[in-house]
Amino acid sequence: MEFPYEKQALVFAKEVEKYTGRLLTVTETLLKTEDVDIATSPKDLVFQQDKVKLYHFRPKKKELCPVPLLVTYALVNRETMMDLEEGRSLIRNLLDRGIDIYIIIWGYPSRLDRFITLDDCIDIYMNDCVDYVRKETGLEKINLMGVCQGGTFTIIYTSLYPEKVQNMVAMVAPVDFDTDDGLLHIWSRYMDVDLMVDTLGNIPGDFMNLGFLMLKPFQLMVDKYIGLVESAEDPALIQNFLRMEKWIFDSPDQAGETFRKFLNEMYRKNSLIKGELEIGGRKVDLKRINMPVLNIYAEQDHLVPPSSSKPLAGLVSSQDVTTTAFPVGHIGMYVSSKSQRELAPLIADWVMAHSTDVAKTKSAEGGSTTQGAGAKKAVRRSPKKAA
Amino acid sequence: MEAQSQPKDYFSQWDEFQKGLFSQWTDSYAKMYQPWTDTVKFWQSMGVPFASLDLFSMWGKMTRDNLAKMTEQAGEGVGPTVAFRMLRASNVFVVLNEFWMEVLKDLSRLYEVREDAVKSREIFEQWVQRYNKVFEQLMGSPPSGTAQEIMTSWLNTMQAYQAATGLMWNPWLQAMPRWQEQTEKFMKGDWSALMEARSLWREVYDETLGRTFMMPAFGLTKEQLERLRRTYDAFVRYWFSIPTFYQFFYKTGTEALKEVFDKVQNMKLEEMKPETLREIYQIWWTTNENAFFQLFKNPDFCNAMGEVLNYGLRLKKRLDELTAEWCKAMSIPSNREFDEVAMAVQDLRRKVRMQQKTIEELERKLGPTIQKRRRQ
Repeated sequence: MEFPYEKQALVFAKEVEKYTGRLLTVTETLLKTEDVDIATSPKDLVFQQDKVKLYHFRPKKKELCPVPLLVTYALVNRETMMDLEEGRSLIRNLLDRGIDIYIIIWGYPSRLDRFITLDDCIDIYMNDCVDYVRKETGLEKINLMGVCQGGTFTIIYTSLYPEKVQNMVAMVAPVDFDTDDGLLHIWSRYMDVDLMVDTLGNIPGDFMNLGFLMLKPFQLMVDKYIGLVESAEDPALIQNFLRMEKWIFDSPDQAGETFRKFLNEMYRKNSLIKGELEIGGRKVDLKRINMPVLNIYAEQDHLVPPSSSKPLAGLVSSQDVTTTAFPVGHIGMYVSSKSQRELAPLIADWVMAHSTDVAKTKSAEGGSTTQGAGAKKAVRRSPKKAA
Repeated sequence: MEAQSQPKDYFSQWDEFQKGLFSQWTDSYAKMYQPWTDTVKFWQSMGVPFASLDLFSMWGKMTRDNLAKMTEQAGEGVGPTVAFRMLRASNVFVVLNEFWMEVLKDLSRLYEVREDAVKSREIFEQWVQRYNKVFEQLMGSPPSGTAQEIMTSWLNTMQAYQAATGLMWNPWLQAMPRWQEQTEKFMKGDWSALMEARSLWREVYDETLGRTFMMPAFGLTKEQLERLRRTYDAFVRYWFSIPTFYQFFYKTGTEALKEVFDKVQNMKLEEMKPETLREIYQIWWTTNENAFFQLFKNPDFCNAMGEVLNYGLRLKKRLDELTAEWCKAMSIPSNREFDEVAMAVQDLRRKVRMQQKTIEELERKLGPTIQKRRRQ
């Protein structure tokens, strides 16, 4: 007599057997695997202020976009996500298209850095990096691209110093924090941020990570690892997994005072879009953003929901605002195959198209000149150190 | 020889060893308690809980009677008056002993009525009356006003203690039936019951233990005591915020599991039973993900999460303060001191940066002038 679900039980047993076999294979592969490298695009340290470092990526093309692009990433996690591996690198894709890229690396705040403020980050460190690039390239204005929290920083910076910004790209950048679409926005209302900073000093990266994992607990803490076992027969996939894992858990602590102001002013008071935020004693007025703006958001973003990013277009005074959505999640913006195919070309083409009018600084050229007003193509030769 | 030729296996040896050990243990335990059990049996056989009182009283009475008869017959030496006074003085010990035995007799009753201030007071009043009699016997008059005041003070102290105890525990006892109701409601799926129970707990705690922890302390160790009490308070609040927080997880997990079963069952009914384990797994994790996503948006959950986090932080803060206090005598910088240094360093960084900027600006402005002078 046949057991009622005998056939099904057999299928399940076979599946378990297969899974166990794969588990062993993955274990064997992991035992043989050394640490993986991420963010391997060649770059040079060109400027440093305290722990904040400015790197210049070695250009890959001889003819470069005339206006360099300064990338500002979030303080949360590392900018390495943008250059995860050769086949999945927004940075490489942009370099391949002739974009001259500088990037700010915030570093790992220690206890000594607890009193670094949001004002320091934007009004001192970011400003110094912008000035360095301006001075180095002899340009009055440069292009800025801010990513995630770095996008918010870039928006704030551009409001404070519009005279130094040629074009602004905001990528998955939160602007309107008063939304119920993202759990981070909801949870932050229930946290006593002041108590947190007063007690902990710097906010541990592990604490931040725990919060991010809780946003999708079963996907990020269970299914991801099941998926790893299922990709056992492909060592390349395991390498990819390890790179991503390395990025996820490479979480710098958050400088206490910066965290306090960012959470209180943005998440709790939504000061930025209300025009109430003050940085360095000055009010941040988004209407001062009058240069071309490219705003990119992810439709399935669970960290920075579209409702937080999209409103930027209506808050700035610029007449040239392009808002583009990608049907991916927050991380998918950097690593998905769709973004590899489409995101970098979109950014590069937009930046190129908007970088034709180039104003030279007086110090560099002995006078303020505008090169090729209305010119179709302006190029800049890459420095000798180009790879 | 036969036993040697058939070696026992390990488990048989172990079993025998255990039996032997247990037998020795019970023997020694019984011997240790034998004197006590004998004593208890003896007193039980007397039939009264405080038989010693009766025996001692009877013995005392007999002795006193005999001595009294003897003193009446005394015609020389110290004389009958002095002999009587001596006898009465020795009576102090006997009378006081009787009083304390009476008090001891009442202790069990006092314990029974410990939460009843009126009955407790009655017992105390009986004690006072008996003590007055002791004084009358010894001194020939009622106790002085001072003595009465002392007794009243004792009484008031005891009453105050009982009142305080009542204040402390009565709210908890009164809240018990409500907690029971709320637990039943919660078990039936009413989420609001959990919140009500939490609010009630906080209310009761704030009225009772919370108040004592926040009470100002006095004396030389005032600061330390207050710090310690506040740490206790933070610990209790944190500790009690955890179960509420986790209840949400357990309940959501259970509900999600039921949903998974329902989904799988429905698929069977529709002749679409999961073909593979992978399908079931997929249903399991996506159902759970969705259930927990809904939970995480729930304001009640967010409140509970906020409480765990904030109470945890408060506890850490208190513990840090205590640690700093204990480490004062050691050559270890405290967090506060380190923060002062960090703040000074950051201020210094800003100043240096400003000065660098000023120098650069001056160089830029004065550059041509300096070059001109050099050429001259």
